[in-house]
Amino acid sequence: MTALLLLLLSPLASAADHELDLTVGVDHIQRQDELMSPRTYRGTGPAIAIGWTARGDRLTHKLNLGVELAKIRSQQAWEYTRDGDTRSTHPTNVTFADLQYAVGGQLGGERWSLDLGGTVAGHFEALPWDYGHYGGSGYVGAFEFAPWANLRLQLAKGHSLDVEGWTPAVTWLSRSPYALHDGEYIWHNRDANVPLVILRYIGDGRVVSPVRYAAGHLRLRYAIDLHPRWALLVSTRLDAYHAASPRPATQLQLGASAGLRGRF
Amino acid sequence: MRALIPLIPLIAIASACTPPDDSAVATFDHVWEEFDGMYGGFDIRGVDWDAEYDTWRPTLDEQSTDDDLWETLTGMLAVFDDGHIGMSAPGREYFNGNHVIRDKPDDDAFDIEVVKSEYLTDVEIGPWDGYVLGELEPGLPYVWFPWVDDNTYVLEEIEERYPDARALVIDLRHNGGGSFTYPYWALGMWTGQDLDIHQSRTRSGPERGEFDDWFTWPIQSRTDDPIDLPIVLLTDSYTISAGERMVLGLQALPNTTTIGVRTNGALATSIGREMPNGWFFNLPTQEIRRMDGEIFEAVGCAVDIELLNDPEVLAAGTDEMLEAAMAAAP
Repeated sequence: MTALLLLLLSPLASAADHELDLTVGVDHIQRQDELMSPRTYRGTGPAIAIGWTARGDRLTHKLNLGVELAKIRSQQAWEYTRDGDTRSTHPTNVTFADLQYAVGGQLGGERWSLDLGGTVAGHFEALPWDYGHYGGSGYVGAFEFAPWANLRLQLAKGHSLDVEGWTPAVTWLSRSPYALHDGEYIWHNRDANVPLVILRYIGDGRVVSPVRYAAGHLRLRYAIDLHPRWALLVSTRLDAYHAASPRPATQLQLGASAGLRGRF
Repeated sequence: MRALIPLIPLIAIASACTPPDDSAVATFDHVWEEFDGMYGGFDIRGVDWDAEYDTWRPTLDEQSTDDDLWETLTGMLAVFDDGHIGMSAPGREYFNGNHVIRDKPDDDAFDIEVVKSEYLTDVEIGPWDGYVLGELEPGLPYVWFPWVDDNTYVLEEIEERYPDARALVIDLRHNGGGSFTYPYWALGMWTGQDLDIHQSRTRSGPERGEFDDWFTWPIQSRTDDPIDLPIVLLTDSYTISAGERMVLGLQALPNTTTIGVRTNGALATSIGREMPNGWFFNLPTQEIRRMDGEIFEAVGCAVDIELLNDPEVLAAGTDEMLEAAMAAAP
């Protein structure tokens, strides 16, 4: 893993211009996942992301890492009793993590530039669902291999807009099995070693086409220079996917965040 | 406006999150179909699911209320008599599909307070009340587990804590279950060779009888010098779920004597589900069998010596089952 990371980072280190983006904000999630429920779940929560861009003479490399947390629910909490004790239902606390690497060739000039290339975008979801008296855990791990584009517009002096997007051609997809907690799932969780459990989940995936997993991703980042080395950053994200099996799941994720961009 | 064109597919996907029909009839149909597509024990429990539909579906129509729906669904689910089936709704008592858990016969045939006050010395309560540990008499330690998780790791320490022990009494009466992989890990210190204990298979598709392959659950030895103590195991009809799989693991050890009554008979892993109207239910999705092929779902794990406390005698301070365990200990 370390060797892979160094391999990915090596072109960044040798590139001419570097940008480091750090943003915090909120994400809204809307999800209908029939592995978990026939109902639509919605919720909002905090998000944090860090991105590193290296622009060389001909190639641009990007590395992004993000984490989002949200309490999602399909209805307001309600109370019931168990052996006479009053209990309440709770929202489902989901955790998402994103890891993306992209590389592209550069077109354009001073007023605009277009990076065209490819990306590997990993997205992992931990879905510990709340069913009142009972719980249930689901997961999604998607590693998308996609054509990728990033358009940078120099709107005015000190004002720039990045528009980034990709849609996967093929995906290494790992989802909960049909009945969620099958023997293999329980075996994967036998030692409660979370990093190892996640790797086991991911290892259980397979390559799927957009027929089984279709997704689209859009990022907008508006930068206002505060200083030659610093800029204020306002960004939005729009992610959507539809997974067809073992039961359909459709998710929309909208985010807005603000932060700083450093140049070095 | 042209800039919004790329958003059209995303808006279409967002609008695909359509609310389900949450009427009583649609909710009934959904629950019936979810059981049809996911329940693992139709054959084992001898339930004719199509016949149940014909019995219960006509009790509902477009005018049916929440009370009507609750009565119909709990009536239909009670047919399974399965402790891993349950249902909850706003303002109502959680419904358990098993008559023992629901109606609590013989619930007063066990009381851990009697064990603690009348029999144990040097009582130790585990973290989060995960176990009650003590000595019944010199050389005879006792441990009670109210549930099954990493609290069972204390089993690895028995010889260390009680170097003069001649046997161990493990009490799983009123054990509410949890995660059986933890005791299987702990019992890896009680065997010098790997032991295959049981197999499970899980529904893998909506067709009845559609299961994945049998999955074998072992106790994997973690020592060349295993703990070599006879075990006397206590069970009752409230020993359920992972507690029952722990019973199978303990009974696979070479010197275990089980005293009590058959366990609840709900070994299969259960999952939560949600109805279109927002109520919750849970159902088991597996078949479980011991390595020799014997099935304990619905009937419970067997005992060597059948015995149940008289509640009046217990209330007077005598746990007859525990005394039988002490007598059975070498």
